[in-house]
Amino acid sequence: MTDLQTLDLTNLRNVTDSDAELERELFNEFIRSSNNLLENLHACLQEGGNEPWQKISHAFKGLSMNLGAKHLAELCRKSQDSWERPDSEKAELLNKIREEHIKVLQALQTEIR
Amino acid sequence: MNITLIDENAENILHAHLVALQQGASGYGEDVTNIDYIQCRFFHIGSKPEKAELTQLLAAFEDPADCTLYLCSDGDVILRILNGTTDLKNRIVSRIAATYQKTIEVCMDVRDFFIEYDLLEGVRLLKLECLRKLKKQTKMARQLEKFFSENGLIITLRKTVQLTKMQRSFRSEPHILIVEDQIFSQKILSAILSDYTCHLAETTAEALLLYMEKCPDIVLLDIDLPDLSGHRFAEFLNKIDEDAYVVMVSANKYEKDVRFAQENQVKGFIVKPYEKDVILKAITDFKKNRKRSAA
Repeated sequence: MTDLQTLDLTNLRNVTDSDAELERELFNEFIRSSNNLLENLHACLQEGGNEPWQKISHAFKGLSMNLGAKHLAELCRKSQDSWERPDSEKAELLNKIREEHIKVLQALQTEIR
Repeated sequence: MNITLIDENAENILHAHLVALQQGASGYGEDVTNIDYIQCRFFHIGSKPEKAELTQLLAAFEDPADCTLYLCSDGDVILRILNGTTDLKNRIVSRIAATYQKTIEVCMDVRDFFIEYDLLEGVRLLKLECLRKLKKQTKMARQLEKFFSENGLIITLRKTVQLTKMQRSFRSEPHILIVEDQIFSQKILSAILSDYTCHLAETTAEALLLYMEKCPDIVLLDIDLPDLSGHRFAEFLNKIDEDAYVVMVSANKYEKDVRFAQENQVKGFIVKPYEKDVILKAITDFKKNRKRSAA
C-alpha cells in the first residue's frame, strides 16, 4: 500500500500526448468530480445508505485510476469493499481518502502551474 | 451582492469552488454565477500574476460600482499580506486602482468567509440534496428496468434498427458510442478516439436515443451508470440489434461482471485506467471482425 504513488501521470500523458491544454482541462475536471464524490461519500455516511456508498466509492476509484492517483484508487477500492462495514470504519476510511485527496490536489497544483 | 474572491493559493480557490460547484455552478477559474446565497466570482491568481491573469481579472470589472472586491485567502497568506512579506495585494490593488479607482475592502480567511455567509449550512443542505438525487436515480432505474423489459418496445426498436443500420455499410471508419457517466473518463476516451466519430451518453436512456439515431458501430459501455446497469443495457442492445458490438469498460473486473458480459455476448472487457493501446486495439479488433464477417 505504501508503495503506491500519490500521482503517476505516465498513462495519462500517453493519452494526452503531453498536450498541456488538454491536461489542464482533465485536471480541472478531476478536481470538480472528486470534490463532488467526496461530498457525496460524506453525505452517505451522515445519512446512511450502503448502496450509494458502494456506488460512489466505485466511481471515485475509476476516476482516480484514470488520473493515475494510485494510492487514492486503492483507498477507494477498500471503501467500495467496505460498504457493509460499520460507520466507524467507513468514517476512518473516509478520513484517509480525504487526506490522500488533498495530497493528490497538491500534486496537481504543481502540474497545473 | 457581488463578491470577487482572489487568491494566490489554488487550494483555497478549490475550497471556495467546491461550495460553488455544488450549487450548480461550472468551470474553474471562471466566473461563477447563479448562486442562491450570494453571487461570487473566483479568480486564481498566481503569486507572481502574469499580465494575462490580471487582464482577465480586470476585465471582469466592467461595472466596478456594483461589486465589492475581497482578497480572500487562508490565514498564512493573510498574515504574509499583513506583514508585508508578499506584495500580491499591492500588485492587484495598484492595477485595479489605476484602472478603476477601486480599492480592496477586506482581507479575510476564506473559511471565515463561508461561516460569515452561512455557506456551510448550504453545504449541509446540498449533502441532503445529493442523497435525494441518489434515491431518485434508484427510482428511475426501476422504471427503466420495466421499460427495457417490454416486448412490444423491443420488437418496435428492432424493426427501426433494421431500417437504419444500413448506414453502417457506407462508413469507412466505425462510429463509436461512449456510454460513461464520468466527464473525466469521457474526455479521456474522446482524446484517445479523436480520429473517430464519437457520440457521448451519460445514461442508458441517453444512450438508447443516440443508438437509435446514430446507429453506432461500436458501443463502449460502462457498467455502473446512474440510471441502469451497463450489463442490463448490453442485454437490451443485443435484443434490438443482432449486430450490436459492445465492449464493456469498468473499474471492476469481478467474476460476476465477466460472467454477465459473456452472457450478453459482449466483444471485449476493458478495465480502468484507460490505456491508449488497449482502447485502440479494441477498435482494431472490431475492424478485423467486420472484415471477416464481410468475407
